[in-house]
Amino acid sequence: MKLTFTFLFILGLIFQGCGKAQTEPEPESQNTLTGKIEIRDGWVREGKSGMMSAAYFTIYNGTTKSDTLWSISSEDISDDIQIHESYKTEDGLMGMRPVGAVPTPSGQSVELKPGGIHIMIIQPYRDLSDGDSIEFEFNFSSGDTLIMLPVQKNQ
Amino acid sequence: MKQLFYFLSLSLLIISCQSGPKVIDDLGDKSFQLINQDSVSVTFPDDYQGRFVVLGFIYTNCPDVCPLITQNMIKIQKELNNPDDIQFIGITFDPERDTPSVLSKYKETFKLGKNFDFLTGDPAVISEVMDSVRVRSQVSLTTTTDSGKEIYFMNHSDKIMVLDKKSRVIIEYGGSMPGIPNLIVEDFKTLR
Ligand SMILES: [Cu+2]
Repeated sequence: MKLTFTFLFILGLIFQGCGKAQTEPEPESQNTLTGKIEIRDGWVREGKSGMMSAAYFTIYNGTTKSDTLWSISSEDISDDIQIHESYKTEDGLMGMRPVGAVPTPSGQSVELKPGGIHIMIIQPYRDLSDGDSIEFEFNFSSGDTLIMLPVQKNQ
Repeated sequence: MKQLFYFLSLSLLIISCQSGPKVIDDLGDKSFQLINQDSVSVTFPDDYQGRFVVLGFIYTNCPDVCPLITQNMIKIQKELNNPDDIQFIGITFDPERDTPSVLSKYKETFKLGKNFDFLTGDPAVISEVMDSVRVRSQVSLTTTTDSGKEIYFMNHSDKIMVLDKKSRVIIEYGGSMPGIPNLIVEDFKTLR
C-alpha cells in the first residue's frame, strides 16, 4: 500500500517535470511549420567605414528538416563577415570568438542578439547609416538565400 | 519570529543608510595624462573633480558587448536628463587602435553630445589607469581574415563605475547587463 503511494507520488513528479519541460523552451507562440526558413526581426548596427559592426536576427526553421547556418556574406559592405558569440571566460572576463555554424532545428527559433551570437561585420567598406538596407547572402545546408536587413541607429 | 526578522531588516537598512557609500578605490591622488576624442589633452581624474563621473571601459573593435556598456551609460544620462554635474567617460583599453579620431567616429555613431568623453592615451599610461580601477584586458585571439586583414579581439572586464566629486570610486556594477541603468539612476537619488 505504502509502496503504491510512493510509486504514484514519484510518477506524479515525473509528469509534472515533463509538463514543465514541454512548455519552457518554446516562447514562440506558434509551432506551426510554415515550410520555409524565415529570418525575422533582423537589423544591422549603425557603424562607420573601416570600423566594426554587427547584425542580429531570429532564424525560424519552419521546415520539417533540421538545418544549419554555415556563413553569411555581403559583397555590398564587407569581404569579412563572421559568425561570433560573446561569452564569459573562466576568470570572469567578456570575450568573443568565432562560431563554426548555427544549428537550426526543425520547428524552432534561434535568436541572435546583443551579448550572444552575432554576425560580425569586419571593417565595412562604407558607413552603415540608419535607414540603409543591406543585402546579405545566408548560406544554409539547404541552400543560399538573399535577405535584406535594415540598419538601425544606436540609441 | 516574524517581528524579529522585520526588526533586524529595519536596523540593517538604517545602518546601511547612515554609513553612506563605501569607497572602493580612491583615485583622488592619482593623475593620468590622457587624450579625448577631439585630441584635447585631459588629466584624469583631476579635470573632472567637482563632478560625479560615470565611468565605463570599452574598445571600439567590439561591436557586440561594448555597445551594450555604452548604451547603458547613455540610458543613465538620458534618465537623469543630461545633468551637468555628472560627466560620462568611456576609456579604451585598446589604445593602439583606438586613437582619438577612431574614438571620435565611435562617439558619432552613438550620437553623443555634451558631458560624454572617450579617452585614450599612451599604452603604458592606459595600463596604469586600468590597474588603478582593477580593469583587466588581454588580446584573446589574433586572426587573419579571408581577405588577409590581421585583426585581434580582446577579453576584458565588463564594468561601469561611479566616482564621487572627490574622484573616489563608490559604485561598481557589471557594465553590459540590462538592469544596470536603473540601479545607477536609483543610486544617484541618494548620492546627490
Ligand atoms: Cu564579434
